[in-house]
Amino acid sequence: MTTDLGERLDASFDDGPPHRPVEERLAAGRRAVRRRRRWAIVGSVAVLAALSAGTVLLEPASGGGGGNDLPLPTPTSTVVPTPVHLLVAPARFVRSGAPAVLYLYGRMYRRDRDVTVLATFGEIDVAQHPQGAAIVRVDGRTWWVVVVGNEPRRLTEQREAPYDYQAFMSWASAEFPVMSARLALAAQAPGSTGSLSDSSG
Amino acid sequence: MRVDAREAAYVEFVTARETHLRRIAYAVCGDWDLADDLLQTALIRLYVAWPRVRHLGTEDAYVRRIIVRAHVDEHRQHHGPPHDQDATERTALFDALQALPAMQRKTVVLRHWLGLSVEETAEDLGISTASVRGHSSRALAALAGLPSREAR
Repeated sequence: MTTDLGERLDASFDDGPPHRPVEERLAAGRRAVRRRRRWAIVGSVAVLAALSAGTVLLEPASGGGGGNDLPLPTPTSTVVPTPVHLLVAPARFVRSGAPAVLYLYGRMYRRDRDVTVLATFGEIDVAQHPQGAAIVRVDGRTWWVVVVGNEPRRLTEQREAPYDYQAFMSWASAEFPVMSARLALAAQAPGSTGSLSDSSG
Repeated sequence: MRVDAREAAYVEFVTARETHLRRIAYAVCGDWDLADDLLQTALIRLYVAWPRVRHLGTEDAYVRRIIVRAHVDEHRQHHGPPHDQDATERTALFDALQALPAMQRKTVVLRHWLGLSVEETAEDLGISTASVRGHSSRALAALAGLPSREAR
């Protein structure tokens, strides 16, 4: 029965459409390795920063505000970056209010063709715990966007800001752990509906 | 030089195995676009882990495990089963496979199509051997109603 079933399953569908070029797979792999190395560097810097901040936290608070908002950067470069190629998400998966970039099955997509992606940062293609950030231009305005989680269970933070990759990277790397924790907490919360979705600017 | 050798070996593996691996993804999810995305995600992770995985000789298992553990079913709950726009050749048996609950479907793919042992199937899916036996039993009962040789 089992052998017969195996043979029948093997014959029950064909090989499908042509494959992507192997060069595309290689390029994606190289990008992933570069991201991993960047993350290692960012992680090291974050640890050093945390150690430095530890001494500050021991001091009495001297003023309100704060939070995790970093000051908006000023433009440091007039260089217009080459747009990053991200696929446009299939329309049937894009709900109203979707952010400019979003995750489907762990892959980051553009919401629609009006979104131009200027830069990306983070683990852009991650199946189980997707998190990534992008600098995008929509209708002539530039935004920083962080997305954590697959559609429709995701959290988004975005802000209008000039193109400054270093400042964007600092902001995004600070947002990732906060948002991941919020997503995990929301998923475990009693009465969670499984439709968590948030977007704030 | 080492990078060149690494990439040559990786390309050789991908070229030789991508059709088979994407068929596994398709059997799991029933949609060629999604299968392609699943395979791409798995191959990216394989590239990153290539030296270690290559050394162990577990390339196929590594990619297969990522594919079958991917969270494709959460999406099904929200959007309904994916429809295959490519209208490729598939039989009533394949459609019946897609109608099974996720773990039963994955168990059939691993255990009865790929011929993995109960232990290997449990390892791939991250569940107990008893669960594999249960899923397998229920899946086979559900598929038993099909004609032995179905036409399209």
